[in-house]
Amino acid sequence: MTRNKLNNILGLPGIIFLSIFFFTPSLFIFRYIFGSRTRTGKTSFDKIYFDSFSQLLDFNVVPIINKSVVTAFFVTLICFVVGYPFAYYIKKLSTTMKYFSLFLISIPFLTNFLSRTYSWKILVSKNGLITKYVSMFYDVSSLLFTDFAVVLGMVYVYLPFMILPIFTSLENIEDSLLESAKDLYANPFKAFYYVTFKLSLPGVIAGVVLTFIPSLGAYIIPQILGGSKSMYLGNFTVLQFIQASNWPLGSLVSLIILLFMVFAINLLFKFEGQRNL
Amino acid sequence: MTYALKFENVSKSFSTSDAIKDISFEVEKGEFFSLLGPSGCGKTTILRIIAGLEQPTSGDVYINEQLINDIEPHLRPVNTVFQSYSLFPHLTVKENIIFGLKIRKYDKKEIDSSLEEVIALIDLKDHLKRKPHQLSGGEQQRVAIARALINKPEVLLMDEPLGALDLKLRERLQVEIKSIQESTKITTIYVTHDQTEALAMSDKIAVMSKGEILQVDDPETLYEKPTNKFTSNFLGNPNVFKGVIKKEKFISDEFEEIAVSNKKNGPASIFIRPEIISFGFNKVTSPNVNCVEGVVEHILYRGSWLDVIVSVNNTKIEISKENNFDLSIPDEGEKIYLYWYINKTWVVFDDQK
Amino acid sequence: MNRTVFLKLNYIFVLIFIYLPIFLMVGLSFNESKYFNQWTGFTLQWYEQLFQNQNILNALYNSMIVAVVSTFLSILFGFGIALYLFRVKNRFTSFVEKFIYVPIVIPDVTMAAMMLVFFIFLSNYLEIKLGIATTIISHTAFNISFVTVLIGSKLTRKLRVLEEVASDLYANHFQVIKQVTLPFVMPALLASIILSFVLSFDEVVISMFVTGPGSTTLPVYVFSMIKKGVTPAVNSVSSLMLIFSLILVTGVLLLSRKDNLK
Repeated sequence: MTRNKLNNILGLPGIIFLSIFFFTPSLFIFRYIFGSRTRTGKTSFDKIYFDSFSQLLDFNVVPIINKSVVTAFFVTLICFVVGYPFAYYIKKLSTTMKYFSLFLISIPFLTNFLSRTYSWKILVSKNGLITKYVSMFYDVSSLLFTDFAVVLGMVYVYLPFMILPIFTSLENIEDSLLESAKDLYANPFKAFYYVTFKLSLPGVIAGVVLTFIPSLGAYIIPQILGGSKSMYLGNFTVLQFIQASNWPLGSLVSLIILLFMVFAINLLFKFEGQRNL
Repeated sequence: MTYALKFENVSKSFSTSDAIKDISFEVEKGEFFSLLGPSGCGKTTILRIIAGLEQPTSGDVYINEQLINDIEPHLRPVNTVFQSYSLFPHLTVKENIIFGLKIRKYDKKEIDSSLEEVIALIDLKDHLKRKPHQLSGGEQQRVAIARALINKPEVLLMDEPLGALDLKLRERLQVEIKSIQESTKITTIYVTHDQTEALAMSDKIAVMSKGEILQVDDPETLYEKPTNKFTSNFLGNPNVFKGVIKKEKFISDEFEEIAVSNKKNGPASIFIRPEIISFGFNKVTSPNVNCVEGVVEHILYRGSWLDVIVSVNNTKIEISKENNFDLSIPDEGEKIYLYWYINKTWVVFDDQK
Repeated sequence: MNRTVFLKLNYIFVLIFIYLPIFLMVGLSFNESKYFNQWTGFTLQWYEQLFQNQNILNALYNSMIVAVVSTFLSILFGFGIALYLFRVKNRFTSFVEKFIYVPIVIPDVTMAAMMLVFFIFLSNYLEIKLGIATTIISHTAFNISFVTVLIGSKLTRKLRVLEEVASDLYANHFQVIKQVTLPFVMPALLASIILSFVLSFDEVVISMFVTGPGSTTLPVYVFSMIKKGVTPAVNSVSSLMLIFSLILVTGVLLLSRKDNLK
């Protein structure tokens, strides 16, 4: 058997599988966007409909988009404010402590996030620790089903996504650069900003994108912590498919989520490219 | 005459460049044949084509008169010693060495006796159970050589095997490799950019530049009678001057007349190797000798010898002399006379490429 | 130094923030009382109840089947694609190299939607019911990319040299893969197996869309339990799932650390 033949046998089955079971399904989303929901809940394709688009406006989807974007923004912001100092601190630790800390952060990273979200739910529900703590300042009986809980829940789950890339790029900065920065700028804050921070920017951007994107399309977390009343892009989409049987609209919204994501990733690569210049 | 390896008009071009152009040469059985040239000259490409890791764009390659163009690497009677870090990290030294035999399902007895043979040539007895990362660079390369040799290939290829080693180790291994080759008589193609290495080890050297072979000869001929400018310049460290030869005299901007023993006329370059130039405090007049006057500019201490830079007629001539402490060298700034035999002035005409 | 103190406090705060809920939940699962503000004693009763809950056991069984089969397929396809991209360099493969990332970054809601519409469309022409098979296919569809990228990152220039060395030493194409490539990528391969398994086992949204009645996976079932409220049953199953994937993920991390030290 020739080398070429063997290579094809290795790679083509998987590529064919993905073409059929990933690429093709993605095309079907487009098909359904132009369908229309009939009375029985099935979708009709006898002609090209634009119902889903008009429903976007009628069903107040725009406020939902806004809410998701704003929420994702706050989640990312909080993750950054808490995560960057964390990454910065552990960079200064001894090697063992450094990697042990990373280890501690990474494990929840991939672990069952349903359980972790649930554990957060415990804390914010009626008698939960956090609810008790917050009710010392504000009058709330339960933090559950509030936007506050959703935001914190997302921070809880996505924080490692921010810390790890930032840490990686901080690690790659040579100590000699930091030393010379101290010489150049008398003011330590300036030294930090102009040198350290700027050099860690690729990691920051990666962290921001890795936090923002999942937050935008999140479903489980808002559903568990925000309840059915709160509407984010994620649960709105699921609602269309499972309860409302309005697949055209559901497809359109899931496409919107996808487009946001593509846009954000493009920004990331554009930024990285500029940096490399 | 039967040759072990033959290249016939072989070219290889990649999408961005031509690696080698129209290469033809022959290697005799049992010869130690070197490909010598600067980085990027195409010597490694030639080696990879022999091994079967690259396909020629055009031309034919023969081993023992058999056309091998379409034969896959694992079916060729050729083994390669790669540049570095080529040992299988998950296998022991012994397992590395016998890899080629085990793959071809030799039985245990054959493997053991072959292993003993190779160990007799290259002493690795103490290392057999070790893993590659436990060995030094020199030891790793010796394992790589043993791993190739044990298969008794028709052609043995070596791609700058000593490049990553320090000088002393390199010199020691050069001797070792040469003696192994002489006792096993395996046809060896050796790639290097180090001319001292090639000159010391080879039976024949092919000097290459920019994808072409410029000259193929034995080391002495190559060094003393280079047929083109590049070869003359590449080997050794000659003093080079451009000018015109007329009636057995060389005329250039720097020199009024230097006698040469070449009857042809025309634009040419002359090459005077530092080691053939003698010096003295008095002018030497003799029909066989060229003599010029100059001033000592720098003396460079090289330990066992000295490089002396002398300025002559607005140009510089470099001479090399053994550091023999009895010899009195003029100090910097002193007047000195340089002289050398006329027939040792090497001439290359411009139309010789 | 004021700054260092702030940093250290932040560090401790983050660690507490991340681990406190987990410890709390696990601790509560052993609490005799149903209410989490009272500790009445240590008990294993909630765990015992779990093992008698037929729904949960069914869901667990389904999750296992889906995870094992989809992992097997993902490794098969993903490893193959990784090798293919490593050995063949042309316009097609550089295109594939970029697009292989799409299943990794795609939001799970979007993927869930597209798999659902696809299967429903197919069910008009073929005998397809939403169930275990469709879940397996969907999980494989996103897992392949993770495997490809994870193994692909370990297919280095050094491996290329070693593969050439093996060819030079008479190994045919199959022998090269068996004797050289496989041992070289083994840690990454093992890590991929565990990672695929975890990703499939923990997957919620896509499974929710493409499973049918009777073929619910564990996370989907637990999700519906969670939506209903905080109960000891949820505590215990949640804790178990957490610890289970914790162990597996630790394995992945240790394996990739070992690989980096090589």
